[in-house]
Amino acid sequence: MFSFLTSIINSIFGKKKNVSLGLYGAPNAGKTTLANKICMDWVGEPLGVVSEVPHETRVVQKKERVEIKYSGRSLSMNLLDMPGISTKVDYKEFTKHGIKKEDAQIRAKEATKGIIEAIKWLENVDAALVVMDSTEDPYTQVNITILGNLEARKIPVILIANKTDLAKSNKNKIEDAFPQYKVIAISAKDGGNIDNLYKEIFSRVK
Amino acid sequence: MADLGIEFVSTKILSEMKDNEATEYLLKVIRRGDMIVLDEKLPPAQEKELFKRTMEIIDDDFTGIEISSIGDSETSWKNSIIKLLGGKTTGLTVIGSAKIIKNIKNQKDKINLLAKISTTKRK
Repeated sequence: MFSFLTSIINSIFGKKKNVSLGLYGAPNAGKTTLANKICMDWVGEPLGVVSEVPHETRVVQKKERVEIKYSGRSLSMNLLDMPGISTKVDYKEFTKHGIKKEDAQIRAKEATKGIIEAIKWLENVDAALVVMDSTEDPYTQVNITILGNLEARKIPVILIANKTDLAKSNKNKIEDAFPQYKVIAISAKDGGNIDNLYKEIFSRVK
Repeated sequence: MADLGIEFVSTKILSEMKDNEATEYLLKVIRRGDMIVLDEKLPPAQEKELFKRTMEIIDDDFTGIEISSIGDSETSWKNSIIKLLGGKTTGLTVIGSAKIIKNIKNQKDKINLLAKISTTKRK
């Protein structure tokens, strides 16, 4: 079964010259930090703003034709940094970070729109990196739903166990939670093990 | 002591509704302040619609939902065959308002849930 899935994954990844790669996950998993790292490595400029306040990314941020190279091969990608998907948005959570009530309410409204946009994009990406905070419990309904929908549409997925620079990081929890997926442990913040991610992407391209 | 209503719903009821009707039904119960327990795992597409519709109606009072489910994915080969033969898959889904569910933890074979019973009048 796994080899069957892998063959589907490989063939889809290998079909297009310019792949739309979506970065999915819960808020604060490190999607924008990873998108920035990829863009800095290959384009020389970041994609978006990173913040500790949840829902910093509230619109889909795109960087077109990012050309990555590995072992003499190259792949052109449209990188799509998605707003973090969640099932709840409470403006009061933002006020805890020092944001004024009115601004927090606007931020909450924008966050809900961003989540809707990210959900709609689930049907349009060619491949996805599902980013998880490896210091947190990965078996959440948000992650289950993201993966379920990508799997239903046979969209190839690489799981990212992010934040390996933190002491509490535990890649095994993600592997145990989602054993059918390949998990790559990285630190998007300091670039730790990022080459392994590029290697994995290229291993899926024919 | 305040009340907490729980609706135990057969997914048969939802399957007889159109997708958007099922989502609206779930949200109506949740916004009323009750929790829902379904006897199956919701299909990923229906979960996605529920998330999307929830985002559309969030305001200062209704801050969203908490949801957790156990059971094989609809896309698993086992469940695909069961559904194809008209059978029923095993599983469970718990959904409630984010204001009521203080904590929910999915451990694959069981769900731990801590609910905060509101003292405000239910809608």
